[in-house]
Amino acid sequence: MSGTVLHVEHVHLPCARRSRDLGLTLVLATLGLPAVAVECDANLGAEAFASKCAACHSLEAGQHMTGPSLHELAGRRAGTVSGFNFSAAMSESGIVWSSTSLEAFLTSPQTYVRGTVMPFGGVKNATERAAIVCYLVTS
Amino acid sequence: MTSPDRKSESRAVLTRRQFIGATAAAAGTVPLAAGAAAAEAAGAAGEYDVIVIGGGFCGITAARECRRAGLRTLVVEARNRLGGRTFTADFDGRRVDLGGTWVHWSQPHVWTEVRRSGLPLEETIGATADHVIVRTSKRDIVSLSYAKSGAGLERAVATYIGDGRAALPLPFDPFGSEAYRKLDGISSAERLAALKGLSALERDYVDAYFAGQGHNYTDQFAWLEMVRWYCLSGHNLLDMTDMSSRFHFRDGTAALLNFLLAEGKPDVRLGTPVRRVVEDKNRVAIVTSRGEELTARAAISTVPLNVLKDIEWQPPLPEAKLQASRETHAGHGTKLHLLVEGDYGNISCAAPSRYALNSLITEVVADGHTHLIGFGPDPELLDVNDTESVQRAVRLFLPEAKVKRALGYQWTLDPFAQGTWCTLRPHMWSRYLRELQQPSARIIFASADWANGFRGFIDGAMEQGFEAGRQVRALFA
Repeated sequence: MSGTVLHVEHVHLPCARRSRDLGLTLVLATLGLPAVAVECDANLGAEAFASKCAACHSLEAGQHMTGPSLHELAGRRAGTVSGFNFSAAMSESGIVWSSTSLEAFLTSPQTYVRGTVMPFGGVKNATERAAIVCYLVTS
Repeated sequence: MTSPDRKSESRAVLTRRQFIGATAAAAGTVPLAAGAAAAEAAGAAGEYDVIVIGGGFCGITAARECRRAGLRTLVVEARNRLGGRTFTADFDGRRVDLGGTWVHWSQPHVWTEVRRSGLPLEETIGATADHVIVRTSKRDIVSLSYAKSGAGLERAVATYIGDGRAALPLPFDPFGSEAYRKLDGISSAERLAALKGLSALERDYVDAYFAGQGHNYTDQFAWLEMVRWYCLSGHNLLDMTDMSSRFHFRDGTAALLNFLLAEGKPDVRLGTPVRRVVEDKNRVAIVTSRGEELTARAAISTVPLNVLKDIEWQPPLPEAKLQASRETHAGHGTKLHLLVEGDYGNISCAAPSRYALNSLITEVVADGHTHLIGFGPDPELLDVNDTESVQRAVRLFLPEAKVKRALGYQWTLDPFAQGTWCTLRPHMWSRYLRELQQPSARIIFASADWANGFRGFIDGAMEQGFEAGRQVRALFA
């Protein structure tokens, strides 16, 4: 090899990682409490919905995208809104959407509804998840 | 960030800036979602000539070819959108692609349509970065000016390719020479480990670069796949990077797909997964997940390699096709768009195979934010839905970075993709590629996953769509 000289300009030592607030996340997740224990954070909910859900879902009535419209979701039986082709797994799930069922679904969609074709691994951050649930049931 | 300029005087092809702000059409105007332009099947019009399974670039190209030949053509698509492993979405006021994105004039099938359609392109500026930032295997962060160190990086990559070039004298034709057979079993990691004469930093850079391209850990995909990309794009690093990550549609890949759809006008059914395909002497019957049966004189399957095994084929698929599907191609990594507060300039970051991100490049700097695009080897190392996880990954390179928003599509969780773009594992080329391309009597098998030239690219998907059209015409001749 000749002449493979790289001109290094800066070298940073790796920075210390901040410790995460695992305690809070763990407690909330264990008790399944976020939907009732955390007040709606409308701004966080809107931002989280925009960045994690809106590529596939609209809140407008009848506006189906890759995923179904989530207009007036609370109280709706899963897989029943008209004009959308649901997976059999979703249609036959028997779920009625509520804060509790949405919290469980958004924790791990493909575990909560085995066979759903929604390609989404869930929202791991409990605060963010609770904010999305609030946003969905109040929008 | 200081940025000793490596402005692209000689390389600037597009004036990107003029496009910023002229954002694309709203999502609702793109007829790729349920209820928009999803023509229902031809009702009482009787049997179709051809049913195309899958509405990605391969399927829509194939459907247009069939329509041009005057054939009654139906596309059945499992998802409630078209596009397959391309998916255009909104991000920070821009149209972005969450799957396949970039096109290049070295790619004959897609480039023809780029020119015919007149669709505007933009540049991902990080493909010609001013700075390369390497997170080394010793956990240092090293910043290189491309102006000073680019030639060294190019030589390091050329060393990695080495005698591979001689094995692929016709890189667009996988069977034009038998020379590949001797080298097909070598993984990217094994190739790198066997090389002498590279510094630790060069080794980290080469490992990172190819982990990003192979979209998995470097021991998972064949070295020859990367040699093929390099040879197809002119035998040098700059052109390979241009080919794979520089030019994209301003309005997303959806714009080109709509162009193809408007020309072909096939019937389309969305939200229609196929459960079973039954072929007999006279026709092919497609049974949907809802139990409906659709029939045609022939079918074109564009079902991806990793999904073939999940459909019930009668008669059964040849064992080689099924075995390849069970083994899966190696494209299993993560891709995400992210917005970081502040101006980080035109950068290209690289970290070796075992880090959560192997590649992180600037798309654009605008309004006090840097829009970056990242690639990692493994969804287990990076949860694209978790901003904290994304921020930790970005801080591998930019220790103070604050991630404002991130967006990625979890392709490996999509039952109709089960992976990203195809890079073949060691031995798959010699064991399976020829068989994967073989039709049955009435079913053409077409996919970017077994394309001849730009396998794994939009161009490869279109190559296969054109080829499927040719085969169907021959069948009906």
